[in-house]
This record gives sequence, structure tokens and C-alpha cells, in this order.
Amino acid sequence: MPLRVWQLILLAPLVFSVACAGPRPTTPRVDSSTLTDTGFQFYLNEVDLVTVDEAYRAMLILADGEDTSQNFSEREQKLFERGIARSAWELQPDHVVDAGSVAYMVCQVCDLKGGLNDRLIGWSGLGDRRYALRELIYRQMIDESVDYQYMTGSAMFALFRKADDLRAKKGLYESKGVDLTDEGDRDAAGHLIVPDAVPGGPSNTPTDE
Amino acid sequence: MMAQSVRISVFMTLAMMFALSGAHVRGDVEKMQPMTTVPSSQGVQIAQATISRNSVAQDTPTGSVNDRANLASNGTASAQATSQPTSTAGGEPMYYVVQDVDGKPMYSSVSTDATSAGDSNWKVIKVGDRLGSGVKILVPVRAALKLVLEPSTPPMVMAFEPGTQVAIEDLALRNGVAVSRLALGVGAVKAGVAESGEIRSDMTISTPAGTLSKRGTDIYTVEYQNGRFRMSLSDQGRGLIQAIQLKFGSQGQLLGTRSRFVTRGQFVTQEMFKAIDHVRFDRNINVNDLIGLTNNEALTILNNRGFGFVLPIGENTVNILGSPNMQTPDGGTGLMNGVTTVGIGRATPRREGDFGVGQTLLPIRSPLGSDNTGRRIVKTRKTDCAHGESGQCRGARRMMKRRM
Repeated sequence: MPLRVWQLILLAPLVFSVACAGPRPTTPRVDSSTLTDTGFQFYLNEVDLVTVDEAYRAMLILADGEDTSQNFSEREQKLFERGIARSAWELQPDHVVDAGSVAYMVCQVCDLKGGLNDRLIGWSGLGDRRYALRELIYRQMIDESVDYQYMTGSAMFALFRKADDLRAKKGLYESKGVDLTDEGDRDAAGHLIVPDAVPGGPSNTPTDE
Repeated sequence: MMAQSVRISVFMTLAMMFALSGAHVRGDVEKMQPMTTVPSSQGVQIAQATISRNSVAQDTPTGSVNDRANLASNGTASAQATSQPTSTAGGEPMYYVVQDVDGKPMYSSVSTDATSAGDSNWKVIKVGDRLGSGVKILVPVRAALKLVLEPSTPPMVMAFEPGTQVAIEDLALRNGVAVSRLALGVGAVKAGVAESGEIRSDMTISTPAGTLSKRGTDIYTVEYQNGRFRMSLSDQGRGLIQAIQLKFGSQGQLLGTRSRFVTRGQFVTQEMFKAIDHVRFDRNINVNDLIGLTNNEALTILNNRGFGFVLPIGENTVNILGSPNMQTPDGGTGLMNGVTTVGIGRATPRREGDFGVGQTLLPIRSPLGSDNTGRRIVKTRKTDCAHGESGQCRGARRMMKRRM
């Protein structure tokens, strides 16, 4: 009998871990599968909850700059092969994605190794998403949260922006570095350098004059 | 009775015709061609729609706030904004000329839905494009945009960071003032104005949660995402910015505003804390104060492992690990043996806590030591041995001893 009690205690975390979020209760005003990659990014900002399929697409855009996949299974296959997502999670495409899964994928895309616990324990899959979320919280990329918290669209887009900024700073993709900074846009005396306007072509002349 | 029903039917017919004609006109406005610049009529109408926002920026709780919040985020409110009367606007139109582009940012009319990016209503921005009032700009990830004001009086430069959706509500020269109104739906905008000459710059960047108003400023940043904003002025920034936060009631009505000024190197968020209040939380600083920390405190504070509850709770009481309330310079480690100290006495009890610093003896690295009253021996010199009559050495004799 004591053995069964111990079995229940050991299995209890598994019960909670599989109790993931269900489908999104609301229907967005547009179908995300019909949107271009640019339109999809700003769709994320306005949708109330993000599904697994949408999160997968966002991760591919974050990693590659575009998503050429045709459907969910294709996206899933790409993420599994690259180690960005894990098949053990068994996420369903129409279910709301949780913060821990998104955090893990962002850590993989941004090449974040995590802390000691993440390296020692997270690789085995035990607490991987939780440690990934803690890593993003530590880096102030996401608000204080728990790994089973569902992901809202605005939070997803905010994380999406910060992850892209981090990837650019780490040089994970080529960037022209268009910016406005103290270092690059001031002269020796500290005055702001305002370049002369580039003359526009004929097609860019005002049409209302 | 018959005549009355005829009058009613005629009235309803006219009303329907009027409604349909109105819808048609509005539809024409929404179907604005994706041009580089926007027709002046629409620009003027949008400028009128922003009049109420300007008053919001001046701490006057008037105007349609929802329209303001949604101008950059969806087309519904924008269509309402473009239908405003056109009586009081005017001025000479100004443009933002695209100076530098990274990636594929896009622009369209302000009423175009952002999620439709990529269709025929949107055009990819290229260097030299001129963007005026009534333009919505999308800057996706892996893209950026840099603009300069034309005419360049006052000289102004602006940059949009990746993941930005912004609308140029108003951009015109009126009464010797370069008026610029931007509505930031999400993302970050950096800008700087080199105030010079007779033409003054009047620029505000509004977000759904707050508005930035500048005062002869460069380089400032406003970032809005996930319902939160952050407005900052760069370390070498000039002038100051004013952050104006909007307060809403339970029905979504605007109750009022509160504002805070930000100077160089400072920032303000939706919390509207003063800079001095939140700057200490802005970054983690390890205080490697080996003098003021005991072993326990070094373990708990320097390693930041969450054992802070074992520290003294204040007034120098003994903690649960039994560390004394009077600390030694080296925390009992013996690392500072041979280092003398100046006794400054027991630290004054602090009700707010000890924090592990500044409550111990200050070490003075003097090879000569100190006396027990805390006075440091500054200079001591030995002379040659004093010899007795028998010629035996009687030991060293101190010639001078000065105390401080």
C-alpha cells in the first residue's frame, strides 16, 4: 500500500503537466493562415490568445525571417528537427500555447543557454520550459509569470520584438543597423547630426500639390 | 392619414439615400490609393481629428480617446477620424523623407488594416520616399527605418525600430510651428530635433497609454508594447520630454492625465515613478563589500540565492545563524589580519534594516597599527639602541610618537 501512495505522489506532477490549455475560446476577426508574414506579425499584437500553430509560425519567422511552411505539421517537423520545440510536449495546433513552451522555443532560437539548473536538468526535459521561462524573466524579456500561463497576443508580440532585438545584437542574422544613437548620430561637440534629405524620385513627389 | 404615411415614406427614402451617399463618400476615403504622399484633403481631415488629441496632451480631458488609441492599430477608428470636419486645419504640408531602410517596411493609408500587409494596398518603403499626413507605417522584425523632416526647418531625424506600427496623424507647418503628431500602435520610435532658427517644433507621439511631448529635445525614445510604455531621453540628450499618462474610467472614458518630466539619462514607464525612485531597481549591482559583510551576508547577498530571510531584521539584532550584531572587518575569515582599523564605534541602529554594509570598522592599512582608542599612529621612528654603562643594549627607544 505505501508503494501505491508513493506512485501517486510521483505521478501527480505528470497529471498536472498534461493538463494543458484548450482551444482558443474566441474567434479572431481574420484567419491567420491567410496572412503574409508581415501581416501575421501585427496580427499577433491584436489577437487575444495565441495558439500553438501561430506560435510555431512566429518562431520560424523569428529564426529565418520568413515561414515557408504550408501547414502545421510542416512547421512542427521543422521545429523538431532543429531542436527548437520538443515532440514530448505533444502540443495541439488549435490549443492555446503556454508561456513555458514559447519561452523554451525563444531560448533555442536566440541561442540562450540558461543557468546551471537549466543546463544540468533542463536538457533531460524535466523542467525545461520552466527554466527557459526563468531565463527570459531574468533577462527582462517577459513579465514575471509561470510556465503554464497562456500566452496573450500582445505579450507574444512584445517577446517577439525583444527576441529579434537580441538576435540582432548577438549577430545571429545580418542587420544594417539603422538606428539613432548618441554614438552614431552626434558630432564631436555633441550636436545632433541631421542628414540632408535624400531627393526623391519622380514617383515619390507629392501628388496633392 | 394617407398623406402622413406618404411623408414618412418619403422621409425614410431620403434618409436612406443620404446614408448611402455618406457611406459611399466614406468608402472613397478608405479606398485611398497607396501613394507615396497622401492627398491634402485627407491629411487635413486627419489633422482635424487630432485636434482633440492635442488638447489631451495639454492635460485637458477632452476628445475621443478610443479613436486616439486605435488610430494606429486598426482601420475602424481611423475611418471615423477621417470623417472629421475640415474647417480649421491648414498650413503648409511637410514630409518625412526616407533616409535609410533596412528590410522591408511598408506603408499605406492610415485606414488600412495592418494585418493585410503584403497585399496591393501596401507598398514597400524605399530610400527617397516622402511620407506625409495620413500614412500608416509597418516596420516588421528584421527591418528598420530612418526618416528626416522636409523642409528641414527645424532639422529633425527619426528612426523606427523593428516591430513598429505607427501612423502619421498630422505633419504640417502652421503659424511658424512645425506640427507633428504620431500615433504609435506598438513598437518604438526614436527622434531628435535640432531646434534652430525661427521655426519651432511641436511634436507629440501618442500611445494608447500615454503621450510624449518634447521640449527642444534630442534623442528621445518612446516604446509601447503589451499595454505599457517607456519614454526615455538618451544619456547625451538635450532638453527634456514630458510623459503624459491618460487615466481612464471603468467605462473607458478619459478621467484625466498626469505627467512627468524626463531629463537626460532618465526614463519613465506607465508606473510614472520619479527617476530617483526607480533607478535603483533598474539594474542589478553586486556590492562586493567584503568589509561590511559577514560570512552569512556574503553568502546570501553576493550570491543572490534567496536566503535573505536569515539576515538580521534590523537594529543589529542577532540573526538565526548566530552572527553577531557587531561585525568584524573581515567577517571572521581572517583575511584581513594585520590590517588595523579605526574604531568608529558601533553602528547606529537602523530600523529599516542593516543591508549588510557600512556598519563596521574601517580598515586602515598601516603597518604600525593603531591604539585601542582608534587613533592612528601616523609616524613612529626608532633610533639606534640605547646602551647602558656596561655597553649592553637596553632596547629601542622611541624618539617620536604622534597621534591623530
